[in-house]
Amino acid sequence: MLWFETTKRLLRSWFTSIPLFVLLSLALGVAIATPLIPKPVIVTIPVSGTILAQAYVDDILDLLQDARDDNNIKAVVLRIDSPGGGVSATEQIYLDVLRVREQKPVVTSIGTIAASGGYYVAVASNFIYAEPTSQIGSIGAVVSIPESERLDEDLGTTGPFKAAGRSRRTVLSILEMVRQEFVETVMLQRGERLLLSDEELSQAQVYVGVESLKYGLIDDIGTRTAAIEKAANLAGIRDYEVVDLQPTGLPFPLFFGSSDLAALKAQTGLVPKYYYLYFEAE
Amino acid sequence: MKKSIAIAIRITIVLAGVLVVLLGRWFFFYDGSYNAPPTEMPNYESFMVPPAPISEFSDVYEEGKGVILIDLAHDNAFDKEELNVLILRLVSRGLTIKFLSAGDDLEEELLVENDEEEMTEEPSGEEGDLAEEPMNEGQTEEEEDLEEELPVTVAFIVISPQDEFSKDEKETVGKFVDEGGKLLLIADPPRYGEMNSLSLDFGLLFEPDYLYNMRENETNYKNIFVTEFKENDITEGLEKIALYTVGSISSANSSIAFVDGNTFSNMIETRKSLSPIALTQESKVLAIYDLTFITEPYNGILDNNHLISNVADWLMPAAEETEIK
Repeated sequence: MLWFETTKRLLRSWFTSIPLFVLLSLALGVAIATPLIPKPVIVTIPVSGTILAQAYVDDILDLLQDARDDNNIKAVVLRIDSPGGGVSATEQIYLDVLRVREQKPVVTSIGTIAASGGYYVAVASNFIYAEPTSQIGSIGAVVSIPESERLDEDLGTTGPFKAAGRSRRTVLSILEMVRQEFVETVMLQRGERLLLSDEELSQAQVYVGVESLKYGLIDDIGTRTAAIEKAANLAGIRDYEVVDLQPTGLPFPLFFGSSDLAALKAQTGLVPKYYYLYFEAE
Repeated sequence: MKKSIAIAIRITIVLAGVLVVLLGRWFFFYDGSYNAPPTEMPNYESFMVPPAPISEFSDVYEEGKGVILIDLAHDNAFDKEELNVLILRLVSRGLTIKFLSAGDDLEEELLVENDEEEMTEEPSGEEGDLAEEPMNEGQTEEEEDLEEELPVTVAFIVISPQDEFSKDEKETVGKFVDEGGKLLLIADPPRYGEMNSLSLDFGLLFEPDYLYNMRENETNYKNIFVTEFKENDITEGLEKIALYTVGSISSANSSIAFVDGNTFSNMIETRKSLSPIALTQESKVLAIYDLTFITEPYNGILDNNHLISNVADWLMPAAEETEIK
């Protein structure tokens, strides 16, 4: 019985000793800290090719929503390599990037090109990086003006613009409003960083990265790595994991030639479609 | 009591330990927090385009006689419907519209009838030679009178030819102008063709460019205003016209309309005085580098209708004055 009493006393002293409690509490802390404070994540989301297919846009919007809703994700890096696309498609991405930016920093890393709609998306971010020779700008829109409506007695319509929507002249007026919106958006988002006037922006010039930095279209020269570090800095994180997200769909090809535009125009038919798009003119 | 204090101490130790770990992990990962910038949205209601500056217009004209020959023989890049406004002005002035198709003899259309006119105007002291010619068999007197009264070609209109004018054709047109015929050359930058093959004979060069104004324009930067004119029959009464995707015409002192200092050429960067309208050869050759302003609804903008009427007046020989409201 003596050995039993000795062991019991020893155990009681162990369990009542302060160092043991400290060790136990640290172990408990480690156990609950991992799920409670997970390692922060920075996600990269590509916006590449010509932004036209709604399925591709939906993929990007889903990724942006995931980034916004997931508490582990602390910052987003947009990797833009796009000459733009449809006005509607571009604006959808732009508006959702703004929503993400309200909660988490968004930093853009421009690859070969962020022109027209590609740049429209970029200005929604907190900070824009580009490479020295990235092509940036082309701020403006294009529209394929529909053919005049041909009278067709086999097609009944209730009003003169039921088939075409607007007159050819009005289409140009709307194009001007689309231009105003694009320019105003750039000026608003870039603020005092921008050194180009409304008129200069409207010329829709394409600048290389170093020029863009000089004119305040971008914030710094750098690659994806610099963008990730900047995103971490803005988010206030020093150790993090980087996850590359990928949309499931494939984008349209990156460069858009005049022949592709002619094909688009042919698809347009009576209805005008507006594009924030930089394309290779004939 | 001692026991409960001991328990409290132990719990505190546990909590403190956990907290230390959590804080340690937190500070390992984070060194600050994100301050989102305010999200400003554009004032979408502010985006607007001023309404089109449509002007009321009453056509005041004199009636005349003659044929206006319109070239269709050089794969000309326009639809006849695009000339409706101009043709109506010409027809209302008593002029006859005739189209020169591929295969038609340009010399016959431009010069032969003029030669006949010259013959009828010869002061012979008696009736003209034509009147003395014997009647063809089966031809009534009325038909002969009609033939005599056939109007001559008074003007030749060439619009955006895509085929070059041959040497013979250029000589014919040159002779037509020398003999008093009017030549109207209209091109349009989007359908830039072979106009220079003819216009250069009259010292006019249609540049392969377009003019634009980013500061003040008619809905689009390629739709420019022209407010500076040299006084003559074509520009009489004009204050401001709008031209739609217009190019510049280079000439030696023949320009009659000039763009302002904020209007530029997409190609010509060194020259400042750019002009889309020129008048030369003793005011017998008029060149305009825009077709759109003649078409609906662009003819109704500013003084465009006035310019079209001036062109119509210029194309015809003068006679009595009429007014249409």
